Parts: sequence; C-alpha cells; structure tokens
Amino acid sequence: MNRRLSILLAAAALSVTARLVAEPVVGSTDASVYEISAPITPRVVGGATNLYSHEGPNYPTTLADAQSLAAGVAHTFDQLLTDCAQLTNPSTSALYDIDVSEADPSEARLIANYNAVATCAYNEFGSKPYWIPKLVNDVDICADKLGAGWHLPTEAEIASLTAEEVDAVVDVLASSASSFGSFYFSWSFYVRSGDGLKRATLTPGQAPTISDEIDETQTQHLEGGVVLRCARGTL
Amino acid sequence: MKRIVPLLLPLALIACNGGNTSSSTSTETSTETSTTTSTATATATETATATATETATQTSTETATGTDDAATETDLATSTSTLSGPSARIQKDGSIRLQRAP
Repeated sequence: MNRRLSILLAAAALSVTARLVAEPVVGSTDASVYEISAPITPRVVGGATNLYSHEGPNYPTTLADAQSLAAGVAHTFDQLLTDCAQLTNPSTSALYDIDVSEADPSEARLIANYNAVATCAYNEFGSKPYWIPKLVNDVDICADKLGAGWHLPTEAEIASLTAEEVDAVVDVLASSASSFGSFYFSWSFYVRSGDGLKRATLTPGQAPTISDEIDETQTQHLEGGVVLRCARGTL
Repeated sequence: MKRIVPLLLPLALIACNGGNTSSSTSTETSTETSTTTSTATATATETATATATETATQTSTETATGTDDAATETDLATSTSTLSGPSARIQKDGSIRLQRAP
C-alpha cells in the first residue's frame, strides 16, 4: 500500500468516527429519551360495551376475549382528542377547547387540549381510570392501542428516575386547574414487575415510590386513582 | 424765577389729573390684580401636574426595567438548568417526553 493511499484511508476512517460521535441517535429510540403516555381510560358504563359489565364472574375466560374487551373499552388520548373536538361541553354550551390545527402548537395549547380531553373523557365517554388489574396484566393494552414500542412501564424503569426527573415530569401538568386530578392528571400508575403488577407514584421532589399493593389476579375494577399509562424508550 | 416755573407746571398738571380721575384709577387697578392672580394660580397648577406625571412615569419605567432584568436572569437560570439537568414537555398526543441529562 503506497503512502498516498494510506493517508486517504486514514482520513476516511477519521471522518466516519467523527460523524458517529457528532450525530447522536435521535427520536424515541434515543436511550436518553423516555415518553410516558396520557392515561388510557376504559369506558366503565354505558356504550355498546363497558368494563363494569365484564368484571367479577363475567370476566372473559379466554385471552382473546380479554383482548377484545380491552380493545372495545379503552380510550386513547388521540381518539378522545378527535372525538371530543366535535362535541359540545355541557358546562359551557360551547365546543370543547380543542384545537389541533396548529402544526407546531404552543405548550399552552397542548395543555388546553389535555384539559379538554380530561373533562370530555369523563362527561361524554363514561371514562374513569378504574381498570381491572387482571386485564391490565393479561393484555398488552399499550402495544395494542398505541403501537409497537409502547409498553407498560416497568418497575425498574420508574425506580431509576431521580427526584429531579420526577419534578420535570410532574411539573408539565402541574399548572392545570382541572378538577380531574385523580383521573387524567394522576401520577399514580401501573408498572410491571418481575412477578406481576405494582403501583408507582411520582411525587414532586421525591424519588418514585413503588408499592406492592395490586393483586394482578383481581377481576373487579380497582379504584384509588391508579391509572394506566404507557411508556416508550428505555431508562 | 424762570427755572422754577417750568418745574411747577408739570407738577400742577399731575396734581390736577390725579384729582379728577381718582375713581377710574381705582377700578383699573382692581381688575389688573385679579387677572394677574388668576394667571399665577393656573401656572402653579400646571407645573405641579406636569411634575407629578413625569415622576410617576419615570419611576414606573425604572421598575419595569428592573423586572425585565430579573426575568432575564430567571430565563438564563432555566436555560442553564435545562442544559445541565433533565427536561420534560408535553407532546401532541398528550404524552410527556422526558429528556434525561446528558
């Protein structure tokens, strides 16, 4: 190998190395990014099908039926955002304060949309956060409703959050004056542990707390403000 | 004697005029005094108002400037914190995106 060729190869290698260093992976696959979804809420009463009519002795006997039940009652934020934008808020006699027309909406607009969805979900769709733990444990609701990459947060992921990171997350919705604090704004949510489900709670200024108070074999709905949020990315 | 007559004549004329128009002179003096007083009052009022307004405006401006400076400092602190610590924001789909510190 002559000297000129050696120099060219060395320069090419340096160029590739520099690009790898200078261009971090972006998007949800970036290891430093972790997304936590808005709650997925079940219709608990009314409608063609609802959760309360399938609990206890009426709980599905097969996984396929459980998946069908979850798919039928679960409301995602995107669904509600679209549906609620067409509806009138009975409290104000005007359309819900939802605007999805902006390509790059401000944080204030996103918060307004979030508040409106929270109210609408309860008023119009009979949604409450009261899932049946066994259904949450048996069915991969996150991937089924939100797509590949979304999963029930794991105990390890949430436990790794620092108090500073908890503050950053909780502060995003802290300015909301919604009365649905234990519902769409709750930071008490299901996490998957090695042996079933647990309850994680994020409190400002504190490291996350994980409690082992959920019986994942329970076929009655669970109240108490524990919501179903999904996660994407890794910590 | 020639020198005294020219001096006495004007004095006599002055004395006669003053005596004949004493009433008229009194009225004119009264009117002039009134007008002068009124003007002086108006001037004083204008001056006071102008001074008060200018002072208030100036104080307000200075205060606002101080607040702006404080806000700028806060912004800088926030930016610094964002750069060195975690940050989170809401997204269109209602999810919260947490960016861990590098």
